[in-house]
Amino acid sequence: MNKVKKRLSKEIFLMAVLALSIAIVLIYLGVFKVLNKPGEEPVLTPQETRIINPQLDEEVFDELEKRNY
Amino acid sequence: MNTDQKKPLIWLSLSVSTVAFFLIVAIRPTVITITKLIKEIEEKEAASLLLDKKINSLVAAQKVYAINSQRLPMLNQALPEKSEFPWLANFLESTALSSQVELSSLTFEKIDLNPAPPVSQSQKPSSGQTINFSTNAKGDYLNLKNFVSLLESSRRLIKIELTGISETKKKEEEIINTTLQLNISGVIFFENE
Repeated sequence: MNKVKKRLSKEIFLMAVLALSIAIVLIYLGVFKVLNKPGEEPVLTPQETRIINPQLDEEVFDELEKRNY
Repeated sequence: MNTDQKKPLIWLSLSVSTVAFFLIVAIRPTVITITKLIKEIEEKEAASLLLDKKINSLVAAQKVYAINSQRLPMLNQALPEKSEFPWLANFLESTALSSQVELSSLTFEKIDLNPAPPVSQSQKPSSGQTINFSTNAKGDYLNLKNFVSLLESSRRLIKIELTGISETKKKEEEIINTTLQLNISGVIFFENE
């Protein structure tokens, strides 16, 4: 009877450890899935992220000023 | 192993089971939510940086615009939004007049002076429209040269594609008059917005 109880308590302990391991793996997988999931909607549209170039070729104006109109 | 020795193992099993239960039921959703929020914050910080860059470039562009705002109409003169046909004809005539050449003919390709506005974006014509023109001018060599030079130095975008000079002789009362005839064909650009 004692042997049966001893084996049972060991099996319960093993199951508990297994459950703990599964819980840790589930948390890891959940975090991994969230980190690698592509965003459903980008925060900004490509038009909003397009940065305009503020440089202006002022020589064009100088050249145009010289021409007759 | 007596009962007292077995008890810690049972308590340990119970503790581990409880921890596993709470890890799955409570900690896992919390950790996933925290990860989602951290990811969202990082994405929004990146977007904020991009917007900061865009704002800086817009401020710089606004300064450049303010500096050059007086000169911007020149761009419209060089490449107007419409064909500005009356101005064009007047310009060619006045240029001929100022360079003392006689325009014997001036031909423009058929253009629509009042084009219907495009109904949808897909029907919008491509920017950069052209008018083909050809003209014949009579005069002496220097004046014709001056005429071509004035056309080339026009602020309005004009591309002279072909020029040709021919000589015509007229006999009037025993005197032979020689005149040069200049044929020009070219393209005039406009934006057509």
